[in-house]
Amino acid sequence: MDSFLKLRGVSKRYGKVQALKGISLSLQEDELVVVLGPTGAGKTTLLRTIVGLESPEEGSIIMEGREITHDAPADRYMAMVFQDFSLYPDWTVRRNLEFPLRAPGRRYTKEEIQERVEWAATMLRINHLLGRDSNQLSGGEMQRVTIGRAIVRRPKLFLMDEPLSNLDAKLREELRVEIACLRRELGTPMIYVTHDQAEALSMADRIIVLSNGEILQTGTPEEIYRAPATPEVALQLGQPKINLLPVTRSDGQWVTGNGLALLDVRDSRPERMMLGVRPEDIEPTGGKEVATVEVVEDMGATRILVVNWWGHRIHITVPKSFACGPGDEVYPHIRTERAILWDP
Amino acid sequence: MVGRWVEGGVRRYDLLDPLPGCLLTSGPKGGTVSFLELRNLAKTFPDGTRAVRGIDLSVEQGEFIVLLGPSGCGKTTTLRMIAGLETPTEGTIQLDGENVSRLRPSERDVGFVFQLYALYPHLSVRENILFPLKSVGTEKEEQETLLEEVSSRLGLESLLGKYPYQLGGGDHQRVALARAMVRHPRVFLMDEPLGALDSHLRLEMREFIRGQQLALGVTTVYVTHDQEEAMSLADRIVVMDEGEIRQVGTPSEIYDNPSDLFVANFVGSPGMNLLKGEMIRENGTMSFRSGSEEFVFPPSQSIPAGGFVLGVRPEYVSLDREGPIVGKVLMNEYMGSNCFLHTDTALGRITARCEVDSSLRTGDDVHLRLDTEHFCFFDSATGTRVE
Repeated sequence: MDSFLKLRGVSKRYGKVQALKGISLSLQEDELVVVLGPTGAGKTTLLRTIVGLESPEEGSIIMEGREITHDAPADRYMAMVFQDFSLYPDWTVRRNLEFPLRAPGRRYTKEEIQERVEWAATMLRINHLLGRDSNQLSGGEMQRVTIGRAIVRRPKLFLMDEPLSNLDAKLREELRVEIACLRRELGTPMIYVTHDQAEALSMADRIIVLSNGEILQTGTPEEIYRAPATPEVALQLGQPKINLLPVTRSDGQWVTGNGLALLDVRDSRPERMMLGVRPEDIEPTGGKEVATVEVVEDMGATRILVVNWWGHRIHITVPKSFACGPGDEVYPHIRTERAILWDP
Repeated sequence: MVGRWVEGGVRRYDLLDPLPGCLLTSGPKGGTVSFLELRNLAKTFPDGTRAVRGIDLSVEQGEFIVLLGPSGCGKTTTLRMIAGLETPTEGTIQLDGENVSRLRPSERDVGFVFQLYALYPHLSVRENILFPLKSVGTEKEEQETLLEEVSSRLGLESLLGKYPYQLGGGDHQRVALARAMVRHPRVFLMDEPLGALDSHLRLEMREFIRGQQLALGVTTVYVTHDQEEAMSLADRIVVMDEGEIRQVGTPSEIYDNPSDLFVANFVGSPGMNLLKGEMIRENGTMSFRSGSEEFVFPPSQSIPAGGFVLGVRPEYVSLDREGPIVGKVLMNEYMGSNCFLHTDTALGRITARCEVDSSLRTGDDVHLRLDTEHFCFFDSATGTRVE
């Protein structure tokens, strides 16, 4: 099947800064792709290039089989939602929602406009707010209206630029589920940009990991979480972050620099590797070598132990039922099948 | 005098005396007054907004306290009153036995770090850190000693010559922290210091701040809306809503025994599942009826019959072929180490925290079982917990 949207070798430079370095990607017709990366990775530039606010020096953008690289933004039928709410504060919610439909060149009848506004308001459960002025809304309500303004036009593609960053953590957690469910219901493809790993894992059909204007890896959340291509990608996902230890081969074991044997060597690999193991893939008991618990963080459903294991600072996630405190001894055991080894 | 500032060492603070906040030896005076005491503290703004509505809080020396709540709950106003940046309309603030309510910020000996606490852009990192010392006229030699101490502690030695625009987000925040720490204040006040950082940096800085605080033993009041941040940092969490304190307790107390529906939902990611229903007592048994479901318990004396809300955390909901509750999957939310299964049931929406199972898709039917041992009940009229 042909992709809905394709980028081929898209590059964008601002002065000396190469913001995008030959990005190629594809998006299917009913897919939510999350672009994950730190500040300055080029995420926003990528969205602005796709929507037509920036024009790339190199490469092409193809939507539904047609090249749109140099089309005006209005001709692309995309809707973008930004981090700040960008509503007209003195206008009612209804008027804000009507605005994109009243833009010059769009010919909708009064009835059509009303019908679409009601539809969007129902989808986002903001019917009761339609008569209110935007400046009377809470942050979560404002962002719902902003999303409403994007969906009334029934665009071909949604582009979301960290839409939840300005909201409280609790609202973020609720809205990320809502946005993903809404998108699925609408069946419209979406590219969602964020630096928040939980949003990426939770929402994405596929994640694109971006760093310094380049794609490091593309895959389903599970692929990226379980089989990150590099330690850099591995560090982008997971909480607490993955434990990384340089190891060398010795007597059939992977051993740290100071002689701590961690794992059996199972196949022929280079002498030196980087070992990655996620905190939930280490059990606090069953290992041979002792470690001392330094900190216990109670996270509610789980506990995070920070342990000193032969001088290595290791994070272990344990169930809440595992009782221990600072100073206690544990015997970490790495779940071999979950360990990741990279050739450095 | 031995301060916890210097690990294992003894240092004299002649030039910096008095420094009671840094010393473990100066415990609460008289045994009943805590290090930091807020009494009936209230703030009503000129426009009539009652931001803080008479709160009482005692903070022990060396404690890490997190004020947690949604936007507009009064947490920042509370912190700003402690700092002296807002004047309370009512109530008092006592710091180490002294009523500081009317003192200017500079007279309170507190150090603060704010989310957007701008470093002076035209000053180097070194000059930024020294700024608070220069402004109180600390002697040159002592300035150098303190700068060296704080920059080695925070790993800033190589950045001292740089300017703020040359720093990344994490370094920027580390410098702001150094500036707050360099004076050895009695209390650290932090208002969402990590809010502007990328999520992976936030995690790193969170551990860093906690590590520093533990090492220094300086009483800290920290404001956030992020319950995960609160859980991981706090000795005790103060949950606030609408200008009032809803609950004070250790992270596990707050999580396991929320005092009302607000706390039950706000704390936890996602929050507690809340199901409306009726408590029924018949022939010496007690059961809770919600929709067509009935949960039977060993009888307890304290919960009367009537309308209640049943609360159960997502980790106490399990997938079970024989489970009595049928749910339709709304979303299978992958989180890496686990997943959250959001389902629609006859009892309402129920979220289960489970092992990753990518075969479950939106629209699938699942059977759920709730662990009756971990139920919490709330009065459906008042929202308060009943035991």
